[in-house]
Amino acid sequence: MTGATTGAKPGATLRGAELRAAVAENPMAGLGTATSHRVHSERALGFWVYLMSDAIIFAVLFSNYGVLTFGVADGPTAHELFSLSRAAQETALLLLSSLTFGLVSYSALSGQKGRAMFWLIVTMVLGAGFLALELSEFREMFARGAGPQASGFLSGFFALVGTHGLHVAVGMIMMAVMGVQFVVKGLTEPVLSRLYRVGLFWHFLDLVWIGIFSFVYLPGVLS
Amino acid sequence: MLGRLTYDSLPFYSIIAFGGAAITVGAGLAVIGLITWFRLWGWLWKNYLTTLDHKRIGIMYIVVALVMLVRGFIDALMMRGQQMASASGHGFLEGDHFQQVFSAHGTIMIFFMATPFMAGLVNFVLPLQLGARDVAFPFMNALSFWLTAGAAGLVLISLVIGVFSTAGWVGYPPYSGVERNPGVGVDYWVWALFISGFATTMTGINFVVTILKHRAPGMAYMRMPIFVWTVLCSSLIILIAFPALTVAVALLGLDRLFLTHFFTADHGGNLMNFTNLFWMWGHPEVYLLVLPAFGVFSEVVATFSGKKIYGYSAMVKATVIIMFVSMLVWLHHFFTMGASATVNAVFGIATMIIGVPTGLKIFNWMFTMYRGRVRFHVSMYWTLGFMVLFVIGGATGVMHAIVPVDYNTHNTAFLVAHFHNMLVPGVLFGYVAGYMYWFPKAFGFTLNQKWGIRAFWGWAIGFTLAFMPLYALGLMGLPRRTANIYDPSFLPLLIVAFIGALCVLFGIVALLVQLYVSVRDRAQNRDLTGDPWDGRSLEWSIPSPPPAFNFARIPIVDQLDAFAEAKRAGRKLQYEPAGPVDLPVPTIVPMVMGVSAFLLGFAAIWYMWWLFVLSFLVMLGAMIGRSFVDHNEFRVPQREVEAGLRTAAGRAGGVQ
Amino acid sequence: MREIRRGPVVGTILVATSGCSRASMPMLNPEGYVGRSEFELLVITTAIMALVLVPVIIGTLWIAWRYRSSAGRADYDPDFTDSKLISGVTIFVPLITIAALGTMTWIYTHRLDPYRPLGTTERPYEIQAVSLDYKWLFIYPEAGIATVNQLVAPSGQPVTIRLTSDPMMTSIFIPGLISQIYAMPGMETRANFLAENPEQRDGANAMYSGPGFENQRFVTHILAPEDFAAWTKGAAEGKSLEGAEAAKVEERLDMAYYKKLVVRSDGDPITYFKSVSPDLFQDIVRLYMPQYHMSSLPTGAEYMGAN
Repeated sequence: MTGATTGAKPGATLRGAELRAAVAENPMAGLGTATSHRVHSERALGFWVYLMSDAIIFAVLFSNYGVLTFGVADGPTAHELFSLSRAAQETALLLLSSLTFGLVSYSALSGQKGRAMFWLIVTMVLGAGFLALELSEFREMFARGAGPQASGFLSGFFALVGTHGLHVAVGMIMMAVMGVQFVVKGLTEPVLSRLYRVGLFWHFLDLVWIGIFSFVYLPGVLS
Repeated sequence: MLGRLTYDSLPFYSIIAFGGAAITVGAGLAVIGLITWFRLWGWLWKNYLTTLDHKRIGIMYIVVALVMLVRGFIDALMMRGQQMASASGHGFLEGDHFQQVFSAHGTIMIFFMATPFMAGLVNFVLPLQLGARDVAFPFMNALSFWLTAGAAGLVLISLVIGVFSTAGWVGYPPYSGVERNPGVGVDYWVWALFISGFATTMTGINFVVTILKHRAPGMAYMRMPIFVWTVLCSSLIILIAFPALTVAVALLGLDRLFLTHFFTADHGGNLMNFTNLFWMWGHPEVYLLVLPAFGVFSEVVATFSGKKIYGYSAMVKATVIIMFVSMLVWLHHFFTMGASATVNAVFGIATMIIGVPTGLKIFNWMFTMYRGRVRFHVSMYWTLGFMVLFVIGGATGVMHAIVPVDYNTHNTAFLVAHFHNMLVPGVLFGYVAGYMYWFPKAFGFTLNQKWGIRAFWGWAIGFTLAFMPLYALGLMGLPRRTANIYDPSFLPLLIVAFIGALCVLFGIVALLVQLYVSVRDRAQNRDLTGDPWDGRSLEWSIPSPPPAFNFARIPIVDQLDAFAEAKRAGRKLQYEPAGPVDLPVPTIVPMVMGVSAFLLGFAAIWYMWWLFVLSFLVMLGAMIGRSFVDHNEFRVPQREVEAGLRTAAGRAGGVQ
Repeated sequence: MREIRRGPVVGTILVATSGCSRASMPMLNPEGYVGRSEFELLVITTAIMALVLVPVIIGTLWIAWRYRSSAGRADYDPDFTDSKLISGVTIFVPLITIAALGTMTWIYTHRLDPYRPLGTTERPYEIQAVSLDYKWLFIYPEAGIATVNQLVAPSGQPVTIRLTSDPMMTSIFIPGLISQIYAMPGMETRANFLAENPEQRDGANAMYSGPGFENQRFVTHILAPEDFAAWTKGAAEGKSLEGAEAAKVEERLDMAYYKKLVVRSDGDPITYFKSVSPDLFQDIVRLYMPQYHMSSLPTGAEYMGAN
């Protein structure tokens, strides 16, 4: 399987029909070299592998939360704390931001820098909105004495939701860096390669959030 | 400014603590002094501190592992000494010193000896066996190393500033909780594990992608050397198991820092959950250490028997089965926690099932020697010693898996003897065999055989004397981690165990003497062929030490052991046409991040929050800065590549 | 390497038992149904494994020596990598061994489940044990008395120990009589035993729970039923066991006194309490689990029905 990639002349730029075929398969094919494509595909694979490992971190945090839901002790219960409408708003913001990130990728790959920048900023605004909602929720909970110190249940809740929030914050930093690179470097192949991985990360967080909504907020409110 | 770090944290309160600190600081100063004296800083900077070359990183890993081996072994010697002395009423370790010593011993040997040794061997060998020029992500590789080194630094500095954990290497709450253990000891443990856990996860990602993407053309999965297979399985275990450890220690850290209730006994915490999470990682961890050692044994047995490995595909399947089953047995670490008989029995039987593929492997190594021509190189000594001793450990492991027997032997010296029986012959013998096997590849001269064999006997006899008595002591009901032996009738066996520890000490000294003698006599022991053992895999087809780019031309593989088969058929390996070679540009950033990680952990342990924020910002800045680098490769001058081709072509046997 | 060639554990047992008294090898001199079954299991499984291991160890060394290159044997065959016969043996030998051991594990794990009462229909005698830092508190609810660092139990009658801890995770262990089970705060675990004859055995906390854990030891006295009845009656009046006298006799153990008792201490003397407040054990468990409620003990017949 590596024979095909290492077999191609490293450093050679594709031309003609070869290029068209390659672009159909991979929109970045027109930009780089065989070597840089190999690097890109390796990094993509590496990032996927990382995401799998991160997914297990979340799986552990989910199961940890599942165990600790019984540890309400003297603290408030999920039913008293969770607001489905806010969780729904958070969900809407995050899902929408995944869509707009798709538009960032699309515009960037078709070479429209301005449009890509616009959608990137929209995505960041949506992400910031999500974080603001989450922080306000946390603040209210703290104000009610329902911080992570209140009970095992709340420790588990803050660990799971907080880790997701932390990931979103990291995603925001990544997007900010991408924005700067759009301006400084333009839509070069390495930048698009990075954008691809930031995209994977962002969509992954969406997926995790859907898990949080369905296993934390929904049962919590319905309980 | 200094958080909770005060004058009292310095080790002036006891002679033994001060001695340990003085040795640590003294050794550190001596190393710095020697480097300065021999004016090696420039060389070190150029070749090691800034390198992204997988071979050099591998060597640095092994240096760290050997240093930590010595440190961890001193702990072991103190434990054996204390138990023996206390049985006659003259214990010499005061306060909680014994508890710190056994906690540090376990933590060091697993996280900072075995794991780096494994990472080092794999780093050095894996790309060479794959016919690759480097691992997939050289920068991340260096970063993994420096983070590991930073975490190891935290454990070492705990000897000088503050204390180490007294909660054992497993750190079970509630004893490791902040109420019962408010000092810095457990925090050192938490942060060292947290940082090294990140490093190991990155290593796992790197190895997986390297194996999937960097194999030489024609090297289908079923043509990979067994060592590569074991590394693949072991890396997958890392990726699946380490998250559990990361979460467990992170949550324990939160419990300690922010008084949350993950693992507390009260307020709805669940302390059994820590045990679960820890062993969900802890059991696979043993297998991720032992699988590459199995890989080494497979390479060594095949090479020194002059044969292909017996039952290659069965070996591969056995490795994969061990990988899967290893993740389904963690509950056997706490059969006594009161789960139902059915749950316990299922996990017990799952544990035993691992015995089937492992037994198969032992048989396959046996039959690799069958009808072969066995040469008794020192690596073969380690391998045979492993096969004899490891099966005993396997048997006692099966005994532990029988739930009612475990009820009796759990938490006793029997258990201690069992897991050392797995980890010393299984893991350490394997790594040392690998070290002696691949050393000439790394440095261009072979290691002294005589001192190697002496080291082997020191270890093999020492191990037997040190741990067979512990099996007996366990059956006599001695709980592990007992600082003061309450029953004088244990004394004779403890004396035997101490003598065993002294034999191991001889083994370690012999290892160091071997290194010294070999370096001294390197002119006589020069390996000019690149293939001193008549090896089977691709790493032996290139000069020793290999050029920075490993392969001037990438070999084409048409079968398992392609290099050995080509030699046997009297033909040359096939190669891809020569082309330009690009290598990653050296950079100091990974080292800076490793140092920052060390400072970050240190700051968090001592509550120096300004330093914490500062080192965090340095790490973040380094990451962002690095993300702006597009072309981090330089082209090796054609002259150098051609020189590599020429020297290889002129070699006896027409290797390249 | 000669000493290694012996059967693994058999060898160590031989080394260890030579000259060792019964007291120093309690596990190999078991008492009662549980201890004896476990010992029997230990011996059988060791024998099964030795049957496989000894040939493997000898075979390994023999093959390595026989095919040494200096012997220059003519049957060198670098292509010998597969043989149906050998592969069949190498897979089936471990498989059959593990199948045998696995079956035994299944049967014995259920038979020796610590939750399973011994005897069939008789309700077992109940003792409650609380693991404290670093001492053991034993409550005898039927007699309404309690002891610290001394366990007294009747022979010829199934005994069940309900266990909890405050606050460490520990492991009760009376080698040869009852095997280990964890004691954990806010939770209850069980251990059962049936001793046939009066005797004494050492008990301990086998699980590290801080530097003092090794002093969390006690002596178990198994008394004949009538002696036991006399002891409980005497203890309620402050009279302690002959030959193992209590250093301290207190009037009543209630929550208030318990709060004093729970403070970490090391090597406490044997203490008797003439009376105990009735639900103390439940209250100790409930300290950590507010919503905890306790089920009554099953008899053997009920247990079998429930499973």
